[in-house]
Amino acid sequence: MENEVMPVVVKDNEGESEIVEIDEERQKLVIFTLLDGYYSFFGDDVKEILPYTPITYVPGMPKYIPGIINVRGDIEAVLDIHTYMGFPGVNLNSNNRIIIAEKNEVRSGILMDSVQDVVDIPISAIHPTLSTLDVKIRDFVVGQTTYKDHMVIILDIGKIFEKMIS
Amino acid sequence: MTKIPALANEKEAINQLLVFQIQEVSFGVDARQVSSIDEPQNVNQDEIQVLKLHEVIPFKDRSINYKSPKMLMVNTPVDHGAIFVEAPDDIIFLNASQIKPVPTLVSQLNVSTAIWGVFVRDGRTILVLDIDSLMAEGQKSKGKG
Repeated sequence: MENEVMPVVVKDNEGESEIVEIDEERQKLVIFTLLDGYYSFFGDDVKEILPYTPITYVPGMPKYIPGIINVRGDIEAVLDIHTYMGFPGVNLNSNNRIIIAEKNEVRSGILMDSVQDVVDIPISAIHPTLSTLDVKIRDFVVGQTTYKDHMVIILDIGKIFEKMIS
Repeated sequence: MTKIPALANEKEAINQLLVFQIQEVSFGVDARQVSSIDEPQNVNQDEIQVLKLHEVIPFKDRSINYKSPKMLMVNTPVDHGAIFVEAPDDIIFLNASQIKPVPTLVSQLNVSTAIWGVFVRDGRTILVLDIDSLMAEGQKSKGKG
């Protein structure tokens, strides 16, 4: 998270407008799509965004870990977030991306449909989520925001890793 | 029976990886733990522990067709046994430090602890197996059955 000085228009008691500067905490988000929905991870947890790389299958793994990839000599597991969330599997195409995420000393690639954008938003633009949220993802959600008129669900990759290995 | 060649120079080649493939997945085992490679029909399965790799580490396609099955005759600290695999296709000389540990999620979530490392050469990713763990897990799963 970063702080940034933001110009804000305020009115005093007599209705006079004045521009003051306030510190506004900001949060970087990596926005991606999952089926028809928009989701994001905190930017601090995303180390790298890679084009799709062939995945080496590892037997004995749960279905949501299709295998491993070689990233410049480092071996990373790959999580198929579709399967983990209980959605239909990813249809592989040129838009697919693998992001490398790390939280609480767990690091993994995450296979996704596409990465839409990396944005820097004020904390005030993050809102609590609706209680009607899909039960499959509710445990991992930390808030929601909007991006180009789309609702974006913010997921905590740390919670996903934690549940996986608990 | 094929005897595994002894290391020419142990200082230069710390490890020999005996490589074989099952369902397009490449595996490697430390060749020093393999005493010989036998034809399955020459191994008396009543006398020694024989395990099929895919029965210890399940594949997504559970029916495995071996084109050229072989037995890796192995020595573990407690016993000697055999592992039923596809015929090895390579022996790679390497330095043990070139083998990368498996990622955390693989070590934490795999049903087996036998896959302990990964070695990549010329774009081929080889899963390195620990024979002792494999034999121990094979014995355990037989005990359960």
